[in-house]
Amino acid sequence: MRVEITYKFVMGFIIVVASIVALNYLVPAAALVPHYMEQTLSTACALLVGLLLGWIFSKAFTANILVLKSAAERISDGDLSQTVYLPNNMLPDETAELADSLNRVTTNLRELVGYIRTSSSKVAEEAQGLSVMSQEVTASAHEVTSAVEMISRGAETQAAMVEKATEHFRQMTQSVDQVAEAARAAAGAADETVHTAERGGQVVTLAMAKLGQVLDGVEQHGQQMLSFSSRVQKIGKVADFITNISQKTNLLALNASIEAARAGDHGRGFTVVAEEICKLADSSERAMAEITEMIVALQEESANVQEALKENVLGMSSGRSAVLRTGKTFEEIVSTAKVAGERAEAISSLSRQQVEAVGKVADTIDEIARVVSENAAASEESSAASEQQSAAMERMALSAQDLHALAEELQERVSRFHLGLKRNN
Amino acid sequence: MARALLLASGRALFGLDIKEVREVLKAPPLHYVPLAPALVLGAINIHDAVVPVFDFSQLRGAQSEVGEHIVVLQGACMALAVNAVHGLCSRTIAMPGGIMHPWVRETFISVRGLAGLIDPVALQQTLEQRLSTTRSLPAERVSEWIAR
Repeated sequence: MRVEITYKFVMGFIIVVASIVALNYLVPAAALVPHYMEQTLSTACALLVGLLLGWIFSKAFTANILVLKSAAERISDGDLSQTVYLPNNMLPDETAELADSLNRVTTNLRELVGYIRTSSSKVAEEAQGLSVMSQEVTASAHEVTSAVEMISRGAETQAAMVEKATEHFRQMTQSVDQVAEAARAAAGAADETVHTAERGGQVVTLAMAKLGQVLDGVEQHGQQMLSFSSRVQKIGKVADFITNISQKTNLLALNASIEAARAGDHGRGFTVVAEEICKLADSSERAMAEITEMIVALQEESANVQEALKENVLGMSSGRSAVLRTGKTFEEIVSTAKVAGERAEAISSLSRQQVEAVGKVADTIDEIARVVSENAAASEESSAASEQQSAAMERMALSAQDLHALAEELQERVSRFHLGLKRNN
Repeated sequence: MARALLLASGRALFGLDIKEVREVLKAPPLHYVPLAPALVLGAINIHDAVVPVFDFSQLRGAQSEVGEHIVVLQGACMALAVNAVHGLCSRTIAMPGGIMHPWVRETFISVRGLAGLIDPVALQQTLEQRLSTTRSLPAERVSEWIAR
């Protein structure tokens, strides 16, 4: 049964008053003290009973209020872990309703704080993750920036190299022009060589004819020397024969001298004749010896001359073959010079074609240079964009850090609420 | 003045009195005599007479040389093969006595130098002595010659 606290206080007052009144009647009836002391005693008893009952009633009525006060203080301190229980609840009053309301407030606050705590921790985690991610994105953006810068530098280098290549191609065009010019000059020189070699071939033909005449003359001289040598040999044989005859004459004269000597005085005249014959034979033998020596010398000389003629003929033959080879060489020079002229002409035409091709290549390289310049500009733009992105990501990282700090602060603020058993963080 | 035929054998000069010389021949056909000693070069035919030819170089004890001339002696029936015959010469300043050989009678000065005059009789005796020595050789040497 619900009794309002006002009624409870009224009931208590009535009870105190009734007890005082009762005492006022009971003390004289008991006759414990003299009469004159009865008034005093009853007053004193009435005071004591009134104080005691007042203290008991007020204690009993305000006990729940104290419990509620302490609960309210706990809640204000942030302790949401305990539920308010009223010890004396036989006659529920407004305090019981207040306790229920406090309990509902505590429950709602607990749920709210738990939700805030969970959400703030999640926010902190997310902020942390966002910060890390933004840092990673910043790092990636830095890398992208550096890569784009490298690409930009590479594009610049490429542009410079393309410029150099264009320069080289210009020089190459000039060189190829010079080659064409040199090839034309070589073709002219080859033509001149052909004419000169043809003239040389005619001179060689003339020389061949002259040399043939000289060789014929030398061969004729050799034949004449051979017949001369054979005649000299015949003369030698005749000289040998004469020498033999003179030797025999000498021997005959000697024998005649011997015969005349044996004849004594009768043979004296014959001895003189024989001695004269002997002297004649001796002188003719000596003359023949000289003639023989001369013939031998002549034979040696003719043999030497023949040998020299043979060597001359051999030399002439080798000279003829050398002149023949020279003629052939001139013919080969003519053919080679013609081939060289044709090739030089071909080189000239090829180098003209090469000049045209090199011009086309130079145009292509100019196009490449233009594209490379555009690439360099685009890479610079993308470098700037990536730098902007990097700055944005850095700002985002700062914001995520601020968010994290805010979530932590919220958690700190919320942490002073104690949620009791449901607290899981 | 006496005259002599001047001969050359090696480097030595010899002379023969002209009366002792019958004929001088130059390289006549020489016939080989079988079993004859080395001193006998062969035999020649002179006017239908067979005359033995002796090697004059071997006779004077020198090495055998090719003799171009053959001198046929008058008295003794023999011929000498010599290197060369230098013709007739006068014998001036003759000195008696031989120089080296017993068959050299005297030495004289010729136009070509100092020459020894050959004594044909002493030469024939020397030859006979040499040939008899050769003939007294034992039979086995004879058979050896035959085999050679």
